[in-house]
Amino acid sequence: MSLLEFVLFLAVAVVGGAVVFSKRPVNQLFIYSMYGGVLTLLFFVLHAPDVALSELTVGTLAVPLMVLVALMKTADKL
Amino acid sequence: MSWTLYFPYAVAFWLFFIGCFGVAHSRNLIHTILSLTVVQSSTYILLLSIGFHAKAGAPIFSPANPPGSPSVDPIVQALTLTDIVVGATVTALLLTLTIQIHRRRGTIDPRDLRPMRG
Amino acid sequence: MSPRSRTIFFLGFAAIGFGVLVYAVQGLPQFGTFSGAYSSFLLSTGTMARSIENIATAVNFDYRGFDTMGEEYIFFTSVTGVLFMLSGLRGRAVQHEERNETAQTRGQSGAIRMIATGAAGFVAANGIYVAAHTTATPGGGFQGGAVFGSAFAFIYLGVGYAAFMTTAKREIFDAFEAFGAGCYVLLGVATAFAAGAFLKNSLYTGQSGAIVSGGLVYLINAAVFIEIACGFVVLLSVFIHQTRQVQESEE
Repeated sequence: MSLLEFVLFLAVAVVGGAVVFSKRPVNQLFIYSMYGGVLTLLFFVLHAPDVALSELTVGTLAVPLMVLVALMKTADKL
Repeated sequence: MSWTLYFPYAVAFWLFFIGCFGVAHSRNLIHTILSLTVVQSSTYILLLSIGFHAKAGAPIFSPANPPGSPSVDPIVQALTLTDIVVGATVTALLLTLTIQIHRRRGTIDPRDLRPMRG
Repeated sequence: MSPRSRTIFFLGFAAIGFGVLVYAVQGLPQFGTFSGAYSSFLLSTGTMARSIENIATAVNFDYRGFDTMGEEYIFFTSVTGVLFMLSGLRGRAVQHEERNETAQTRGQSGAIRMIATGAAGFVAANGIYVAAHTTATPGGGFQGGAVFGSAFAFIYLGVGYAAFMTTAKREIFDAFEAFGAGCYVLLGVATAFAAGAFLKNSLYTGQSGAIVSGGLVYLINAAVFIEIACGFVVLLSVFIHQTRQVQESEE
């Protein structure tokens, strides 16, 4: 296992932990977007370009935008 | 250095359990949904790690990379790439449910959303 | 139960689960040493048999085409569920007024609008490109559809709500999504009548490396692209429409 793969696996573990342990949903949203980016890099390094293409737009733009709208609708104070 | 050869599986299990911890301890349903997405992504990492073959390329052939050259497993990639797109849509469905819950009950704190009685 | 006891309960079961998983992972091959019979067979014969160079696409739409039909219908059902639940909320609020919004009232410059519109067009074209080159390069209906759907988010973020609602009309994209979803089954039924088995790849497969190759895979891929792309646009349209309800219906 090369150094690049090891570093990316470690980064995925750390950022995944940060997604869960963040306090406010707005912070969690941006960390989730970053998690999508790191996951795309990991999928690319694991020789899976199709999977990386899927995860790139879905995890970075589509899901955070929908979560942002849901946050806006369910916030008690704007 | 044999522990590094099981490190990807450890990362997948860590993400699974930390996601479950997030679901169990969340104070906000949106936080629950994003933790559930982390659990889903742990399965993608597990699948792709099982199918990985060192010193091999992607399962896409070309004149420079003719069929027969070593490559990683294409079946797990086919499973994962449809799952990512479909998982995003199920997340959208869960978010819609959350919006409805807020509309009816006024709160999205799981500790306040007890089952209705009477 | 209190948070403290919930933590202990969770950690107990997590420890048991972790033990089971550690026991299970002993049987897995080490990372980087996979050798499965099915994948070796597919890699060696896929390109010759079907003229497809992207074996993941071949698995998705040809060897496992029936499972992909199921996945596609999960997508369709989820989008239908979102539409069903969120469009019921529109009855209370007023229709969004067609205010004549100018850039000055929103505080946006012309440069932002131009870059956002250009980026949206480029991303949409990229999505179609990714979906069209499904058999020769990394790509496919699922990936291309997701990229195409995200192009419309650029319009909302860069230009504004009114422009987005003019571009992404829900009814048209909803009809196309249903069309794409139905085409998959209709193609399968047509090949069942013409060639004897549901979703049998019996069309002329073309030359491997060409854009249009793989026979039925290309048509199924086009149907999936139409469905996923329009499904994402419908999802975005329904969600972004909700943002406008906040100012009008909080009474």
